[in-house]
Amino acid sequence: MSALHIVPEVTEEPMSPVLAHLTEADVNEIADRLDAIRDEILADRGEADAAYIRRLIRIHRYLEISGRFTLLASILPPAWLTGTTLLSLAKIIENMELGHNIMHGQWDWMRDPEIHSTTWEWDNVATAQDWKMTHNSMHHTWTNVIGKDEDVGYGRLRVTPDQEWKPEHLFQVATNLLLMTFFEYGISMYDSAVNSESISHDGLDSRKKAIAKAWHKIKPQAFKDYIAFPLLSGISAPTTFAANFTANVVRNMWTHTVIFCGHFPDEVQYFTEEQVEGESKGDWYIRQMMGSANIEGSKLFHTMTGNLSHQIEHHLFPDLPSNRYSEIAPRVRAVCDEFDLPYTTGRLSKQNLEVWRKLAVLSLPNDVAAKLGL
Amino acid sequence: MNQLARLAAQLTTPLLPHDYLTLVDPVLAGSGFRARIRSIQPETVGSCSVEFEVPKSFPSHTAGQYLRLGVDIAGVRHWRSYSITTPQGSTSRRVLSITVKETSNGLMSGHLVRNARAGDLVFLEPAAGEFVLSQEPTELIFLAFGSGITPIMSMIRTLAARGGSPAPVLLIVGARTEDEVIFGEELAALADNEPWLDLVLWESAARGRFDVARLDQLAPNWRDAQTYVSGPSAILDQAVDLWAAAGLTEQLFVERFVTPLAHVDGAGGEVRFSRAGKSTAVDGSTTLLDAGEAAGILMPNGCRMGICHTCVVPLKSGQVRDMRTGEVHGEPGDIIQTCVNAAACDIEIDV
Ligand code: FES
Repeated sequence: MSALHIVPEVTEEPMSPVLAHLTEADVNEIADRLDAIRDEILADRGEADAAYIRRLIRIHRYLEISGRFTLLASILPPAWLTGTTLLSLAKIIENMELGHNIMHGQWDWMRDPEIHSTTWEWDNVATAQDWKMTHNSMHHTWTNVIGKDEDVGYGRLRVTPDQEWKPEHLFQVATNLLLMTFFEYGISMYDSAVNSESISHDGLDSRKKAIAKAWHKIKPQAFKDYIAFPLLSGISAPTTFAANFTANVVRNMWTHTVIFCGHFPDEVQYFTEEQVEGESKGDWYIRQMMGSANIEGSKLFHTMTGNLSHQIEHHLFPDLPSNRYSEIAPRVRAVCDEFDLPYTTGRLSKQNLEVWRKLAVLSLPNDVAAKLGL
Repeated sequence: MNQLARLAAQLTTPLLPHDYLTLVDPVLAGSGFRARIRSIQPETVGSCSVEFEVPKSFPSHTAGQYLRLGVDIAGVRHWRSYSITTPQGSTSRRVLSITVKETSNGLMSGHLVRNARAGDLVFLEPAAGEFVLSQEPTELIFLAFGSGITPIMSMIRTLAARGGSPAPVLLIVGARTEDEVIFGEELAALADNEPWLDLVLWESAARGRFDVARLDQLAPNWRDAQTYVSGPSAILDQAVDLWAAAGLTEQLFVERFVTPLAHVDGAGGEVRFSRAGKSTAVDGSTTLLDAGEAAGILMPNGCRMGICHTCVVPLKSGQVRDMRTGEVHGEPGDIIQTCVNAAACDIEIDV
């Protein structure tokens, strides 16, 4: 049975206390309202949207070219700084506003084979194919369902008191710092692990295959940044190497921060498998809204986060073109207000603080944290 | 050169060097063949010829063939087939033209006739089609109705460019009135100047619909000639029957412009899974994903609710209905989400 056929039913236990006041009719009404927003954008999609994504693609390519060229002279500190900045910006746009969103199928409607979820590959060591599997189909379908959405802590971090405490969590602030710095490798390993488990159960063999596949992507990525371009820079080789490493780390830290602020601030809720059983379309929408948090900022800021600063809207409509999230955000918020549902949003500094504070508190077992008054 | 290209690709990975070339001009590189429209010449009311310079690597065509033309309209790429009207070979600059007649609700034809401009980027697929001049020099009869003149025009221009046909050629052109004959003036001039070409104009407004039985009067020798017919299906069907009855099917060449579109009513149909080599009948309210799985096909899938795009497969023919919006859509080559689409008619998907 596909989820489309699931008939809404009244669950004896509401999904969570904040939702206790909603009737079944409310839930259906919310679904209708949100569907209407989606349909409106779908009907309006056209030339201007296509021009937007093509412009972003051009901007990325110019940034990348100018960054790489400037770094040929990276032995000069101003060139190093400029080149590294340009390359970091290029990589951020490429991964977020382009890669993430194109691979979601947000631009498939254009039928341009070069801007299509089935053909896009990104400048990241995680392969497009693996990432699409874990991200699009697991994380987006089962958002914040503990045990189903492996993105809840990526199998290493404890992000809700409902997750079982293990001694390794004592160091989770450090673990997260490390994850943040090498985020792309973390994602690559995580994707291979999750996918090799879910695709086949023949143990070692599938694990080996997954590693071979990951390596197949890592090799050319590393060759480009750490051998080819440094060599081309001649006397600037060591500084170009350092610049490329820095750009990758900057991009990693930025994407990690945006993603963590999208799902781990304080008000975000998590769900159990029982809570989502027999979920209707409206229930699903509500879970997406409760399981995500927005980040406030300027237009440029939104673009630099790949519009994942509109995490709530993205989770409701993962395949709507990202340039439309900001325009529907006030309407989604109005629906939340009307039905007395929380709509989590805040500035980056606030959300980020909450994320790290939460990781620190949850590194301790619940009873210890309680005793310490945390 | 190859070495150099490989090296360049290592620097641009995961993109390709051509992704950067397109920054200079998208016509220079990218997927498939690309061209810019050079000029658009009005022909009759509601029709025009569109000319573009094709890349050097674009395979040359044979007179009578068509090409698939891709155009972005409102941000979406659409593809249609059009007969090439330029003569075969010869030209040093690789300029090709097609001729388009606007059809009612014709998204692409309407765009080309009314909105397209010189300089627009278009996408091309190489020429294809079996409707081409045969090699032996025999008498030829061309029956062209409406925009059916287009592939035949390429053949006639090719013969004229070669200095004429060794055997006589009869061209019967049908249109509602003389004004509506595409290439009317050029054809009249050719018929005046070229001894090998005879032109008969059939105005259906005055003389009624053309009946192929008339050939006995207009071209009593039709049984000895090679005949090329192009136009609306009704006339094509008539011709096919007549030649079959005479046992001369090999001497008749037919160009169908519109493949008879399956009856689309959104009520389901036969779904063919081409790679699996299986078919199954489904109703209009079962998703293709469910239908495929029920037929024992390994269908890719993820969320099963239209958000993750894991379940996409190429549509080969027919149309599908989006169960979320009710919209019937799809063109051959479209990538469709099987979890939210049902068959709108008989369809084939590449899985
Ligand atoms: S299975 Fe997720 S979009 Fe079809």
